[in-house]
Amino acid sequence: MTVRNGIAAFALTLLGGEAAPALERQEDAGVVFSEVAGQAGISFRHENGATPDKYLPETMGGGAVIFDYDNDGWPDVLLINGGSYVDADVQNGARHRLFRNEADGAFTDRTESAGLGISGYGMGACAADYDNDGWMDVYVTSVEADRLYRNTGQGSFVDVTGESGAGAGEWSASCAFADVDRDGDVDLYVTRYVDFRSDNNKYCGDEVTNVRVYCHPNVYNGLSDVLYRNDGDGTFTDISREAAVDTTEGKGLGVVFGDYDDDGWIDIYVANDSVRNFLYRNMGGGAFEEVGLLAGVALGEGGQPLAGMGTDLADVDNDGRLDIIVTNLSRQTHNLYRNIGSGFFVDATFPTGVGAATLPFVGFGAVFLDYDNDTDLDLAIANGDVIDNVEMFRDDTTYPQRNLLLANDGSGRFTDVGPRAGPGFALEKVSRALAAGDLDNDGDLDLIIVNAGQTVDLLRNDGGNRNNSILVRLVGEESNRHGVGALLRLEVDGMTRVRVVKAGSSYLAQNDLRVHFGLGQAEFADRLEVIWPSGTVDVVERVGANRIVTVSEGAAAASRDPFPAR
Amino acid sequence: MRQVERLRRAGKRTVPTVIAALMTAATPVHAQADRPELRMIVVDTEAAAQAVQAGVTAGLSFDRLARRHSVDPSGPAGGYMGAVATGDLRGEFRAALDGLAPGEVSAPTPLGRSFLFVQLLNEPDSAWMVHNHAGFTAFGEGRYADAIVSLSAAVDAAEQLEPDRLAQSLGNLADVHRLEGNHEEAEPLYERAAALYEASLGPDDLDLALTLNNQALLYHTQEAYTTAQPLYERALDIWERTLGPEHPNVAAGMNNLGAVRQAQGARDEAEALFMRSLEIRERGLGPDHPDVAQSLNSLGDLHRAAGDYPEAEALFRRALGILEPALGADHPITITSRNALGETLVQDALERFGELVSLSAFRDEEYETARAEFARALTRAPVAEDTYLEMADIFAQEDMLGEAELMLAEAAERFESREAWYHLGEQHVNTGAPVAALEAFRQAFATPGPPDLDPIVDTQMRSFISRRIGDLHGDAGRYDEALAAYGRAYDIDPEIVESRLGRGVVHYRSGRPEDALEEYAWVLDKDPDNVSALNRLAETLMSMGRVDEAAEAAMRALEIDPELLTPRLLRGRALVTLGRAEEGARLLEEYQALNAEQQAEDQRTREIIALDRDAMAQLLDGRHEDGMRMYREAIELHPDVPQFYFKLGVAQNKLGRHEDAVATFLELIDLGLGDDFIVHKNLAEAYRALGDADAGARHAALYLERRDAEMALD
Repeated sequence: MTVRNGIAAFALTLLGGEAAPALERQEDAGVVFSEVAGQAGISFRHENGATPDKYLPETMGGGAVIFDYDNDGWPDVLLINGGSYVDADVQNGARHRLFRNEADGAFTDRTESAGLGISGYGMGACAADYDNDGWMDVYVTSVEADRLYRNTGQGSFVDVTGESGAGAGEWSASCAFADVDRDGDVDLYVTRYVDFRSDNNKYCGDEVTNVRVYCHPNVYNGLSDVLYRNDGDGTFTDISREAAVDTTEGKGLGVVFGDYDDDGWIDIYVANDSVRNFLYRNMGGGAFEEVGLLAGVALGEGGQPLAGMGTDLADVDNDGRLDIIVTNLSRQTHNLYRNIGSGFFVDATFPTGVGAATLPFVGFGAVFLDYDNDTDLDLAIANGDVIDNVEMFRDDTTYPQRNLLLANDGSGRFTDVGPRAGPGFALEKVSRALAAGDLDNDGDLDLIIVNAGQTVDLLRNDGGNRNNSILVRLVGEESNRHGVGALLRLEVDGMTRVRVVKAGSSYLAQNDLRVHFGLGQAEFADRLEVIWPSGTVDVVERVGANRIVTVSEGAAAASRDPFPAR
Repeated sequence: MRQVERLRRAGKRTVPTVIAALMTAATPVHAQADRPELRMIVVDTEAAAQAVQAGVTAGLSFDRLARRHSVDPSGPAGGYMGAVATGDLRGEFRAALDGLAPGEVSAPTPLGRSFLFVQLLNEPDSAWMVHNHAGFTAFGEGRYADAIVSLSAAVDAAEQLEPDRLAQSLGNLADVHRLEGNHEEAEPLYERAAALYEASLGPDDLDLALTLNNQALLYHTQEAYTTAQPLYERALDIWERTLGPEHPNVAAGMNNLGAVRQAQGARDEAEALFMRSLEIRERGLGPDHPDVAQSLNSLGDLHRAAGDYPEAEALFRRALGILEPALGADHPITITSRNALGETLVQDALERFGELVSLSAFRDEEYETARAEFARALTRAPVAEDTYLEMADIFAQEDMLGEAELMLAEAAERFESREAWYHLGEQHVNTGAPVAALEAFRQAFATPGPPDLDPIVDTQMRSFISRRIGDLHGDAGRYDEALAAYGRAYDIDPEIVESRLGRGVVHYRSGRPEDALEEYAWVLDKDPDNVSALNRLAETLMSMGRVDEAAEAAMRALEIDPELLTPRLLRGRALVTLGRAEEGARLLEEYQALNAEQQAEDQRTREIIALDRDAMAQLLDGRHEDGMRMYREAIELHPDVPQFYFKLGVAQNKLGRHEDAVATFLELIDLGLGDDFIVHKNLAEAYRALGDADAGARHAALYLERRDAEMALD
């Protein structure tokens, strides 16, 4: 039993645990990803409405959320569409899409019945149970006006933007939920990009030769991000100013929550495009201090601001501290900041091999995931240039690019294994949002990738589950309902692995809220510790492999269900 | 010294046509008691004999009389026979010599049907012969100082001879001084020679005409055209009156006078003179005579100077059509003419280059036409490699990157030029084509330098190019290739530490920080103050978590160059991490402030680009008033940005607002923001459009001067 911040923690000890099922193993856990979106019934083409006028949003979307909206234990998929600035028919037809997981490898389009068949130039989304009613709600960002949808629990959503007070205007990008004030409900952070509007679209390129390109964000002014405090009564209050996150110096595209300094208060990392990134240290009580530069996560190693797009935060070197990845433009590298403790990071981009692997790519979505269930966190990155006619200006790159799968050797060094990871990673598209989740509940993580102006990809993980794993589902009581922001420590084979429950990360995306741990060949994990946002600590001893473990905050027992599809 | 003139002119044509030499220098032979030095004149008629006798009586030199009257082959050599054994001579000779004193001229002696005059050389004449011959010999061998000494001695000897001989010697010495650029020495010699000729031979003498012509040449080469002009005119007048209007000397004189009138700006008068010269020569010498080609060349020069390159080209081509078969392709005159044609084509290409650059602000139809014409002119012109590189540089400066690239590519292929390949590589780097850049650098590396390149420089260049290849591989993440290229650069020139520094960076980027540290240590051992190495060292140590060492390395870099940004950031972060929060925070604040300044400057640059782009868009869309207004507003916002003035001026010119354009361009110049050839070209056009020919010509001259200076053209 541990005590954090004066709140009692409860240990769940199931002596003896369960016997792990006997499974055949393969020594070589070669994993391949297959693109099966069409086969699975996820029929979605992102509409970016590309025109010769090069409206900047055309090259930025769209989004993806993996979440279980109907609480059936099977993660569903919400895809966020774009639109058009010149064609009303295209604009109206560019609907977001909700695909229900039918638990048999197929998805069905439930958009209309769910009430999410809406248009409006969308960007991304994030999902969490903001009203703690047990059903996950959705916040959708867009170029003009964001919307908050409450899950009715009846398979549908209602737009509560007006009454909730949560709905940022102008160009929003990524969003994420977390309980920043530890009052038991999730608050909401929304990044906002630049002051582009359709009526102030600027010309970039060469008017003389009439070669137009998408503008660099520096031709527009940055917008301040928005932090909404959940008032607990279904409404939100914009506390950006008092929380000191309302600077217009940023051009926010990516956001992720995580307690990087282990002080019990969840912090915020924001990836900004072409200006320094922000690390908002939570001072407690909803006040933040921007410490990106001091902490060493604001800039590239040469001191230059980078083109921050997507971001994720996790412990990649298994030292118990949360490290950060930020995706950037090609020739900038996607930067990995290694947390060295005491609130400081070092730029480990090149020493970890991430630099060499990412140098030629323009990165957007980024997810730390254990794709091969070998216990350490690997890295998937969605790539694609931002300039659709880039080949006119550079002879060493293309608009569509292959995505990256970087395997962690266990020490925090990464190697590009995409070329041998099957046809899914051989695709070259204009990828943006990237989300991970065990969509087929078979014990390994699949990927959803939204491609700008192209069809969506569902990359099914084939072979990851040759190693064992567990999925942990949290049910908060004192804390928010899904344990967003909780820290999980798993001890397996003498190793400790740390995960965070994140409702929003990557780029315009959110992963399955269930926490995935690869166990390698271990038949069970020795110990699972859940540190809830409330400070409560629950411990589950001896967790059998290949189970979905549901831990309820402060409860005396945890359920352990075998993977349905394994 | 007309022979001197001819020898000198064999290689290079620096002044207009000169009258051909009238004299040949005989080789003197020392006299002995029984072998006196003789001159002789043989004439066929009694009247001629009387004319010779009259000349003798008038005090003219035997030398001159022989040249003018003698029918014997010795005539052109002044009748000089050398030292002759009198016993070997025919009786008529011996009779004529009988009792003759040195210097004295015999009476006319019948020689068959002819008449013979002989003269024994006296001592001054003999000395004159020796010095004169030595002078010619020295000049022919390029020993000009010796030539001047000998010809000066010849003048001294001639002081004791006839006035016309003295005049001739003075003229010879003056010619050498003139050709040697000793103008002050030449001038009084010409003046005295002319005075002696006039006094002794009268105002219409042909030698006087030649002396006046050559004195005019002296002034002509000094660009003292108003002084030269009357001398040319007088010489021409003598020739016309004495020799008749169709004589070749008249044609030559007209050519000379035409050239000086051309230089004085009297183009029409010059053209008329050249045309008359051409006609005389064509009538007198036939259309295929080399002198006809000379007139054609003069006319070509005239048209070239006026910028009428097609007409100039046609004339030079016609001249070459005469000279090549007549004199051969390698004859100096043919070469001179061919060079003139080449220079015309180069000038034509340069003119179209200037036009293209000046139109680059508006890439409209006119620009496209200029572009095509430039390309066409370039393919025909023998443009030198350096000129290609300069044009490429100017294109790049004017943001005409595609044109710059084409120029460099063509130069690289045409001249197999390492320098062109290298610059092409850098151009590709700047335009976002690293793949093409790599290939260009490879070509540069494989291409030998010029034969006269200093081997040390050659080594440095090869090492540098190999480093650039390493840089490109490194930037693309091809680390093995980068290491190989840096290694090669190091092998070529181990004295340059940057190769090892590059290897260090590659090791670091490949995830081998320990290897990187070794390289940086090597560099710092060689060059302890290498801030790049210190900066990289700090960066690498920081990434390895060796924060205190990183702080130390960054501090050393800052001690060497306190203005550096990155080491300040690294040290600040290191100190904060080490718990020296206040000190570290201060450095980080400094970093942010310096960075903010840089960003503000970047922002200003972006704003300028946007203002320029928006205004240009208005102009190109035909909203001229809006475009010009936007440029004026941009000038108010950023009065130090030359391109706003320039583009406004160009727009005003294009729209016929030439007065406004002049004001805009002059403001640009007055503010010290721009004074290059493109500005003057536009100013010249504006003034011409306003009818101010003088100002137009002034700025046209400045345009050419600046353009050629910028392109390092002589």
